[in-house]
Amino acid sequence: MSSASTAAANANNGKNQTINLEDLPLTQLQKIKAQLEEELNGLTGAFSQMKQAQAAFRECKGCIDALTPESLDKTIMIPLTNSLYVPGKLSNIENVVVDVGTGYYVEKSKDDAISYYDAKIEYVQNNAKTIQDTVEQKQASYRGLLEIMQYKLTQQQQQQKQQQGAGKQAATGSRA
Amino acid sequence: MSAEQRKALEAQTMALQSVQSEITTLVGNRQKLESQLQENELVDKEFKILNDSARVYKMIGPVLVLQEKAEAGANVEKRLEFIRDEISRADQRIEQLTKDQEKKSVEIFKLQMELQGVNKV
Repeated sequence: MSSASTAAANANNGKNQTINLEDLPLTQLQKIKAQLEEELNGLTGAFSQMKQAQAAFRECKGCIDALTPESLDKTIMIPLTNSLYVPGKLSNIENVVVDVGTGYYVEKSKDDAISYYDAKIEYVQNNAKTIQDTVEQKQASYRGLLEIMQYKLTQQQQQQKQQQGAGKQAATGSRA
Repeated sequence: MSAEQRKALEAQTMALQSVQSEITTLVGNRQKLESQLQENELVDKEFKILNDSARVYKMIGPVLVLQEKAEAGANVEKRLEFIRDEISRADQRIEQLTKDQEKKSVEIFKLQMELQGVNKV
């Protein structure tokens, strides 16, 4: 009964963001715990994606660096598919075509392309940092939640013991 | 307990579940739209700082086709507008469904209380 009435009170206060966690019943806390776990999983996934994206941009930068004057006129193999190549000659080491997203490609000079990738790497780095901060924050509240749940659990067990003791003395009337 | 009340509770629970699953898909869509918006915004930003004489290609199938920079820019802007519209529509729907969900939970709670009351007597 008591857990149901708190749930109703909680539904009424649903808009209020500053509910004291200690006032919530265990079932509710369990839901919050599951939610936090899900969020943490999603965030760590996003973080590793950011790291991958950063590595990809770094690789692109490395490829541009490989376009030195010495490599001009050198023969290269151009992949037509993953398994089919045709020989070609490197005739232009000044300009590259950069994928800017959503199917658009822009021709850029080597220097411009490098600064483009630098900006990208920094952008991704900032995002990763934000994600990391959020993860740390969430982890802290997750730990706090676990503590409260532990506390509640022991409290509940004690209460049960007391109730059992009282139930023996007065077997009737406790249900009302 | 009355069978009627039970049926009502069952129906409400089913309704709540369908609302919840719709919210989940909508939130997923909303996230996809958000990432599309971000990608397009980045492209738009890139176009804005680009020289007017810059050569812009569009990937059509496996080929890169040269495109007017102005045209490409207008395209992206149009897309941004469209995505923002879509997002606000999704937001409205989510808000509405969330209210619906709250209402249904309260109803279910009431029904449960009634059933419990009947059980006890």
